[in-house]
Amino acid sequence: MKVIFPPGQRSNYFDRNAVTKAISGATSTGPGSAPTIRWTYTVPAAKKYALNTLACRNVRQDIGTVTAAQTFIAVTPAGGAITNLCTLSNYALERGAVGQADFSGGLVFMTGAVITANTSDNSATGNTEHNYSMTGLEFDA
Amino acid sequence: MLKKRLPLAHSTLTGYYVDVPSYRMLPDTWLPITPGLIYKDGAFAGAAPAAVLALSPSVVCELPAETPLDDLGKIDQRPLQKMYATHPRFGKPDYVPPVATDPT
Repeated sequence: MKVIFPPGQRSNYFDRNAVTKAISGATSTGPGSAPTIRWTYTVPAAKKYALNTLACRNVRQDIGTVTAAQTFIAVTPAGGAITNLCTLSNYALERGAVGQADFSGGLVFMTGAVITANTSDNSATGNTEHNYSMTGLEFDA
Repeated sequence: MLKKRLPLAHSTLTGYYVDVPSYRMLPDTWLPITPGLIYKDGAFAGAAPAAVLALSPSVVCELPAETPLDDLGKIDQRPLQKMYATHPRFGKPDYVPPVATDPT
């Protein structure tokens, strides 16, 4: 038997008016910083978003006490519940303690999905530096 | 990218945020700096959200270049709703974008 795969009826996603959407950010929190959404990207109508990379990092800049510095990137599909994509919790107290979480892959998010970068820091003393970024392609749905 | 100063909002689920579809907060631009409540890049962890919001806090954000603005430089509600037509919040007629001002 001969199996034939017919050519696709649509062009590949990267040929459908693809535009790179990359967001990065950094903040220095503390001592003590309330949970905050540092950036948000919402997939517009009639578009999709192919996520390529995510990165979260935080570094304690001073000796801390009672620390729980968190950096995470999450997605909320249109009408769905929030789901973490990349989560980093740093409980270290010493200066220079680094936490890092990276992700690369080919996730595709549908119209209306909301991707957010979030930080919080419960330290009673000292500062924590947070970095959070993503890259991907927005293209015609 | 457009730079605008925008008011902050708060929810118990996500914390402080800006109520627009896409933005990036610029560091060290929170106002008004208030001891015990707001520092230059956020609200303090122990500060009550009601006390922080009572100060009408704001932050400078970068918005996507395609964000529709009206003649006064404010975010234009109708075109924005069209851009996010299928979104359960930003695409609804009752969504009113926050008032954007020039960054200071």
